[in-house]
Amino acid sequence: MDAALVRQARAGSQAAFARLVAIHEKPLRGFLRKSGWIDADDIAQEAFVAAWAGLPKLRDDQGFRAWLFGVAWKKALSQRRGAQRAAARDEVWRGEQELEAAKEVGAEDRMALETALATLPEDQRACVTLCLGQGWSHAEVSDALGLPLGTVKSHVTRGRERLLAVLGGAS
Amino acid sequence: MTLDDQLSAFLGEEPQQGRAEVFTAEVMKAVERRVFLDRLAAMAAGAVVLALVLWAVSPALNLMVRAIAPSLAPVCGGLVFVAAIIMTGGPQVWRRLSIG
Repeated sequence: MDAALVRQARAGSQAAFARLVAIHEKPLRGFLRKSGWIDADDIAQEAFVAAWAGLPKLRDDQGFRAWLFGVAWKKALSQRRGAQRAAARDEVWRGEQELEAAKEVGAEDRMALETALATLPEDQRACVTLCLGQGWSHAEVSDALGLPLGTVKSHVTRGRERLLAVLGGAS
Repeated sequence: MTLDDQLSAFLGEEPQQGRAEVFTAEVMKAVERRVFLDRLAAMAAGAVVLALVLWAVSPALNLMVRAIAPSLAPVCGGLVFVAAIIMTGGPQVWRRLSIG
């Protein structure tokens, strides 16, 4: 699916790229938000524009998703390292960024999980979000985030243990 | 439901649908702007190259224009005359001048 759209977008089709954006925008924004980036939408938008410009450099058309998330992750890290972004965001904007709450998780558990997630190192948080939340394989996460496969595995194992401990304690 | 399922559901939460279309539209607007700026930069670079080439061959162009100008003068004069008649004699001109 992605591969055909990537080929068309690379040939200059903005309609094909719009389809790719529509397919990947929610998982990407959800991932960035869960990974603790307040300005997740801005980062996601910049990542998509960078992806459009960088499409000729993508070697494996089928690997668009991992490549896109990698671009977004690098953008997020570089923005944090760079000049301070506007810190104050009004409440309306924050509201627009809120995620659709899963019915499976109670309010108390949610608060406990959000607190625990925020305490995880950012690499670990990203690995846990992609592997456990979005069902990515370890190899795919390793490819996207540029981390060694062993590191991804240990991040997921440790992150999962810490989050489950919180979840078990809160229930 | 197991704790793992709850954890997966929490970590897999996605943004609300309401903003999805707006977000896609914003991205595509940014992409269009990017495409426009890229084209503009390419055209500017082309114009600079063309200007440099013309500047480099300007002595030869001068000679060429000087050589063919006398023979083209009657033709150009005729064309200017025809253009003037078309411009002044057209019904649109009379209408705009509120004469016709």
